[in-house]
Amino acid sequence: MSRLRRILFEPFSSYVAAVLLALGSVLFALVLGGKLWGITTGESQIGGHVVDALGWQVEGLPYFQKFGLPPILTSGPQVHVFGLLLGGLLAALLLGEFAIRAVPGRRQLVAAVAGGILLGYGSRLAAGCNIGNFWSAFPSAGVNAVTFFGGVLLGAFLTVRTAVERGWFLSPPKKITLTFKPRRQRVVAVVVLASLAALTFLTRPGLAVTAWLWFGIFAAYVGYRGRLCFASAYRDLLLRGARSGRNAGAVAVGLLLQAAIFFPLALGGTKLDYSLAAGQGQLQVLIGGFLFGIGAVLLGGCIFSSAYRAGAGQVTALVGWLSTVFVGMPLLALHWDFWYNAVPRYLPKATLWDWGPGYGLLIAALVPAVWLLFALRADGRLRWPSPRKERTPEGA
Amino acid sequence: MTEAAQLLQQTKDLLTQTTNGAYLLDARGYTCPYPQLFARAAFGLVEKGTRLEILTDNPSSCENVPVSVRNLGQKFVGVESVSPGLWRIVVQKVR
Repeated sequence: MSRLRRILFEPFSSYVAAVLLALGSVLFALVLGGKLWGITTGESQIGGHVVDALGWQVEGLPYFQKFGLPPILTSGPQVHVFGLLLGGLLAALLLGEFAIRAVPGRRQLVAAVAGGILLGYGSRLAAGCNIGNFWSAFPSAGVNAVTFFGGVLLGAFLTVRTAVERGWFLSPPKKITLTFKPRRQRVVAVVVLASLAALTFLTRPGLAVTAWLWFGIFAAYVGYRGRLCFASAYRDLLLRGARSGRNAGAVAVGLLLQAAIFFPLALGGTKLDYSLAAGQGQLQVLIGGFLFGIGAVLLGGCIFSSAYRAGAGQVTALVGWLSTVFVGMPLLALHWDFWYNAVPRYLPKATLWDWGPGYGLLIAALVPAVWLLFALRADGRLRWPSPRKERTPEGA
Repeated sequence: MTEAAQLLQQTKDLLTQTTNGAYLLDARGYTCPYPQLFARAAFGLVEKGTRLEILTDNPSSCENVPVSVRNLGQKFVGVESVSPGLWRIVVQKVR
């Protein structure tokens, strides 16, 4: 019983989560004829619908002309967003951990709102978040993956060294925890899961919507159980004196596994959709990534983790998620044509798989491998000679 | 590096001594990365050999705090569930 209990109801390692998420992502792409996983297009469309319903007509904006504003329930990417929230809820319920918690203090509330807005604004400016412009873009050998990663690390670095290490947004949170007995939580989880399955079966929304919904549930479930967070992966290697390479290492392993699967696909000529990050060139992706990096550190979560944590009852994440979807993304939609006209289009989207499988590996495998080495070193699992050797003063 | 005064003050405010000589760091409500930063600051405030119990309702901290504590060269003792969605991370200052 204890083994079964562990398999069903205990958290697992972030490495296990990353491997499962990588396998799920590839399967998702293959089921949808090469369509790669992304989150923020759907989120921005949901934001657009809500803002539109409030009387701010956005359908004519160039942003929505480009990305569309289809009805929510027939649009896979939008249904996916609900899948992520539900997946977080289900994971927390099944683990018996669901609780209304992390109610922010005044300054933390400011950080969560500002961080959420920057996540939304930056991700849509770059035309992709830590999933579309990173998790899916690296195995796609997209140039945007490297550009976005560079921007994110720069934004994260500056925010860690200032706001985080100096405690700019620290204020006592409300010590409120509202929870229920684990057994009751598991019953609710089974009821929710069965209702969703029945709803899918009865409405038969088509392969695409079904795949987006259930992949969202799966991804968030795996992310919550493995505590997988891209913001943590970017940030925790930069924290002086409190480094952790746990999430960075896990994400890097997930990227490498995807690369290992994409490589034979590329050799075999399988067509995947590399249209993610169809931004206006790499400078825009870089600026978007920079804003995203600041937002991720301020909020303490990425687009993926803020969704599943919000579903699991974390109020700070919910505040961030709402700010992302209903403020940051609509704001960017309003400014989209400004950026389109203002930013020079250096190096538009490109995938090195088109140059040949060997070139593709340069981005898909080499960059994550180097990142993995840094993560392992941070956790003391790998040592290499320190560059800080004592120098003998000249003439001594 | 110098410890940020704000972070240090917050850590002091969260830290209380328990009856068995251990220290309790009540980090409930704080999200990443603050629990691991508080833990690090707390190691600078307590004596060698002291047990430190970090109370958190942030699931990710159960993953991140042990790793960063080990990286600091301190001892990670274990994580135990206190109630649904609330954990106690036990660590010890060993140097």
